[in-house]
Amino acid sequence: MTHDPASIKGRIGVVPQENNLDRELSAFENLLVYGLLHRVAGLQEKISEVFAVVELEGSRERVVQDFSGGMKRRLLLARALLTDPEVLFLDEPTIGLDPQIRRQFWDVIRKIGLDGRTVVMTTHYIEEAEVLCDMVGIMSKGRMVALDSVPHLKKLVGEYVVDAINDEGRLEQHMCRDRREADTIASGIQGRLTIRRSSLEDVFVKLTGARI
Amino acid sequence: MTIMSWYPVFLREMLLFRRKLFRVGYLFSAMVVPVIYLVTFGLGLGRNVDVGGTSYVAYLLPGLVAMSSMNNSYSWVSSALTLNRHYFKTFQVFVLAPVSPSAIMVGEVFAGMVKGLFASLLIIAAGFLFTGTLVITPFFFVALLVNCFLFASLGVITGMLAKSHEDTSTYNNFFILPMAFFCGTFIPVDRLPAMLKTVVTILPLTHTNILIRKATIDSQGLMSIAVLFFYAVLFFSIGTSLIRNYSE
Repeated sequence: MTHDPASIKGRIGVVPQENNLDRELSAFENLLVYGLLHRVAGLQEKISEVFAVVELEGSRERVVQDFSGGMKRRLLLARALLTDPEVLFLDEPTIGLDPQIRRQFWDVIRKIGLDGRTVVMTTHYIEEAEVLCDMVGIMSKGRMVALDSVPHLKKLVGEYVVDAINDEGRLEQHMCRDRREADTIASGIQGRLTIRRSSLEDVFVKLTGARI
Repeated sequence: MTIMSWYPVFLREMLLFRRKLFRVGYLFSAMVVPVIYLVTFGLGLGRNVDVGGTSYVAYLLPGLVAMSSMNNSYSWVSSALTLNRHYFKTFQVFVLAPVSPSAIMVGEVFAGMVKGLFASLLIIAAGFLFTGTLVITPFFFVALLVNCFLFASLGVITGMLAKSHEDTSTYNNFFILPMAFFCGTFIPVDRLPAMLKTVVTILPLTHTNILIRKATIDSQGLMSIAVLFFYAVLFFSIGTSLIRNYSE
């Protein structure tokens, strides 16, 4: 693979964390130059197609510097899709976006996944990984400490959590295998407590030993 | 490099150039310095001076065209590449695309040439407007084209080497500014002190200024063509190599 970078470049799409669009060009011009660089066949039709996927059809002639943060992210995604990549890499795709815009962006990512493409993304937003990813890899200090589906990861650390606030106001968490174990632990705790299903964030905290 | 694989790189620069062109500031900034030189030195101080039997303004005008083509070919490429690498990160797009380093080089250099030629046209037009005289020979065109090519290539070199935008000004002060003043734009190289003359003789703009003023070709003109082509090949090769070895 490392001996033939050109063939790999042709099969992957990359959406960088930093916006590297040409701010002074229109959305269409950005895609035109990128498509020509990558020798995309049927470029005009392909551009219209990716504009539709990211729902930017109405803004194709607008200059990118007038775009909102969410629109720029979607244009970056459209650009990466132009080459019809088998694997799409997204680096922190929703960083800095409002919650509403982030959810719209998630819809677009899901749509791309449903088209049969593999999407590999890095994120610090754990809920993003939870709602979008079939497989989640958890990295800690540069090492992959777990790689599995979200239900399996939860099973690994416990599907229920008992959150209890102690006398000093600190949160004490008890990961439990099932509801019955959670009830048993809760019955022995005095004071405020909550029993809930575990989240991917609980898995992350448990496996990395760090609080987010 | 496949045929025309440089075109997207060139097209991008031209699309950006088209947007800048319609801003009043661009035309003004491309013309203001050479026109000031033309008016103060050519029509002011040099009114009663003659150089080798021609009026000073007739001597100065081709030199200003050469200087302007050098400045614009060089500066646009150098500064755009530095900004694209360090601030806008748009150079990544070229590096990640399946295009060769030489295609990127050709696209950037051709774009720099267009900007240099455009600025030269403005000076030629201003020259006609102010003086009504400018002799344009075939050597004028050769000199202009090669000059734009080699300085755009030099622009790629400094654009790839600069660690920040401030660095481009440093390179400009070391290479471009001295050439603008000493290489035969304002005064014939023969009239420079011997030490300076030796250094100036090996610099490319000197040979552009020799060739751009030639009515007929002679051994000096041929020598200047050879020197300019040497610099063009040298700068192009170094620029391509810097792009090939580029890593963020």
